[in-house]
Amino acid sequence: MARPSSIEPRAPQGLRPRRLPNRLGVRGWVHAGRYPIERYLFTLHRLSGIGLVLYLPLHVWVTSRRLQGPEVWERTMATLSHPIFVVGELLILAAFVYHALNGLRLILGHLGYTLGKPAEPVYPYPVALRRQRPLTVAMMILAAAFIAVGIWEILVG
Amino acid sequence: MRESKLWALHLFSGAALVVLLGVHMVVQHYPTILSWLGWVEDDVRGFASVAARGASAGWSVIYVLLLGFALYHGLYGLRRILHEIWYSPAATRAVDAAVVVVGLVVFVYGLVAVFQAIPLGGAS
Repeated sequence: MARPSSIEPRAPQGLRPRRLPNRLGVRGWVHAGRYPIERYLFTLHRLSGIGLVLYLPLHVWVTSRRLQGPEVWERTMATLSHPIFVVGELLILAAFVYHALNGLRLILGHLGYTLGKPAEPVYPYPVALRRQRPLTVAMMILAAAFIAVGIWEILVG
Repeated sequence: MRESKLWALHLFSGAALVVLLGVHMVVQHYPTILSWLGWVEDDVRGFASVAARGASAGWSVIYVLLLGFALYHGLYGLRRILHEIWYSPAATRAVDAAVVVVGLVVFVYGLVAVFQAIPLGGAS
């Protein structure tokens, strides 16, 4: 018998819902309410992830153009030097850098690191998010630095 | 496979991507910084350079791993997002099937592209 999840409401056997309804829907991604900055990082993580996964098949197709020979490849690269594609490249670079560094923070959190040990709830209450806030700040500073250098490389370097 | 194992693989592929995609991005997008560090390569996106990387066994392995991990990580994440929006049992089954089909098609296409690029190294 499956162990009941602690977040599912208790209901008689047979009436137990298969899933909790997603009451807020997509609005819940941006409706932070009383949640802190990490809630907006979560939304940005999803948006950057969706952008990256949609870009991936396109990237595989573009890079496979090298199989058609040097002329086709150089023509493809010339097309990609159009300002619209350069802006797209910058967005993809920023999305990857952000998603990677925020993702590292999330992996550490998921595995239980950075959250601190359980402690007696004495006011002011220890909050896991507050404990890992320095990591959040460090990752965002790193992301900003890598994105800035990447923009400089693409536009100036 | 149990959902917890799929999720653990999502975390593992994410960590692997930070390393593999990090290498890929630095080589492709930070050439000036690399030249400051002593790694000078002319026109990393020129055909000769691309063909040489395509012919290299090490780069081919990195490309296949990148393709597999990126597809798994990205499509698993997309699947979880879509499950939140369409959570009826029929919709989740449809999303699961679509994700597997798209993943396999793009993986096979990319795999063929990686292996067909190996002889290009001699053509440059």
